[in-house]
Amino acid sequence: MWSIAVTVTLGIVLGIFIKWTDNLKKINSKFQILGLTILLFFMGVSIGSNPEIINDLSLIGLKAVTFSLSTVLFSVLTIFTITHILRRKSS
Amino acid sequence: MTIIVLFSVSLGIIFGMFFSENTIVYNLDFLSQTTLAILLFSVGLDIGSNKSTLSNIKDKIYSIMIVTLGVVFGSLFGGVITALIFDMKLNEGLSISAGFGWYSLSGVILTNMGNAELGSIAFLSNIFRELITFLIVPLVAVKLNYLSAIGPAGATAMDTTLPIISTNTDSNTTVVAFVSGVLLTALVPILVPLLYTII
Repeated sequence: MWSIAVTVTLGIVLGIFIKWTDNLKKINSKFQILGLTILLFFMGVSIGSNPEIINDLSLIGLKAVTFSLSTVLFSVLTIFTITHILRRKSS
Repeated sequence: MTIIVLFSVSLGIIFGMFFSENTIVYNLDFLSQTTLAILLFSVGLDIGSNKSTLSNIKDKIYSIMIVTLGVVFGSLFGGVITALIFDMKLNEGLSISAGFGWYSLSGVILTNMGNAELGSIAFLSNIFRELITFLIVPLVAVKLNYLSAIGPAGATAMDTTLPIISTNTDSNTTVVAFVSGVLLTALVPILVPLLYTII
C-alpha cells in the first residue's frame, strides 16, 4: 500500500514542472477514467475467481455487508453534519 | 460514472467465475498493482498541475481533521450498531469497523487475534466498503458535498479509491482525501488490535 502511494508523490512533483495546457489536462483526466475502468475489471475478476467469496455469501456475507453499509453511512453522515454546522456558523 | 463502475466490476466478476484458469487471474495482483500505480501517477500529475492546491495545504488542516475524525467516529459507531444487530461482542464490531476499508491488513490481524470467521468478516466487509465507495462517491459528491464524498473511502482514499474521488470532486478535495487516507492507514494497525483487546 505504501509503495503504491509513492507514485502519487512522483506525479505531483512532475506535475509541478510540466507546462500544462487545457488539452493536456483533458487527456490526463480521460486517462484516469480509462485506468479506473481497467482497475475495476481486475477487482471484479479477483472476486469472481474466488469461490470462497462467491459460494459463502451467507451469514458471513450478510454480516460483512451490514458492516460496510453502516460504516459508510455513518462516516458520510458525521462529516456532512460537521461541515453543515460549520457552514451555518460561518454564514 | 456509476454505470462504468457497475459494468466493469460485473464484467470482471463474470470473467473471473467462468475463466478462472488464465494468465489474467494468475497475474492479477501484479496487473492491478501496476494499473493502480500508473493511475495514481496520473492523479498526482493532476494535483501537481494545480500549484495553488499545494500551497494552500495549511488552510486544509481543518478539512483534513474533519474528514479523518469523521471517518473514525462514523465507522466505529456503525460497527457498534452492526454488532448490536447480529448480537456480536462489542470488541469484535469495533475492531472490524476500524479496518476503514483496508481489507488485507484488518483481515489478517483479526484472523490471528480472533478466529477465521472474524477475519473473513473483516476481510469481506472492507472489500465491500471499497466497492460501495466506487458506487456512492459520485452520488454523495453531487447530493451532499465534496468533503462528505471522502467519507466512504476511509483508508483507501490514499490509493485505490483516490481516482474516483479526483474524477468526481476538485483538486482541493483530492488533496484532503489523500492526506486523510494516509492518516487513517496509519491508524488501522494501531486501532484494530487495540479495540479488539482493551474493550
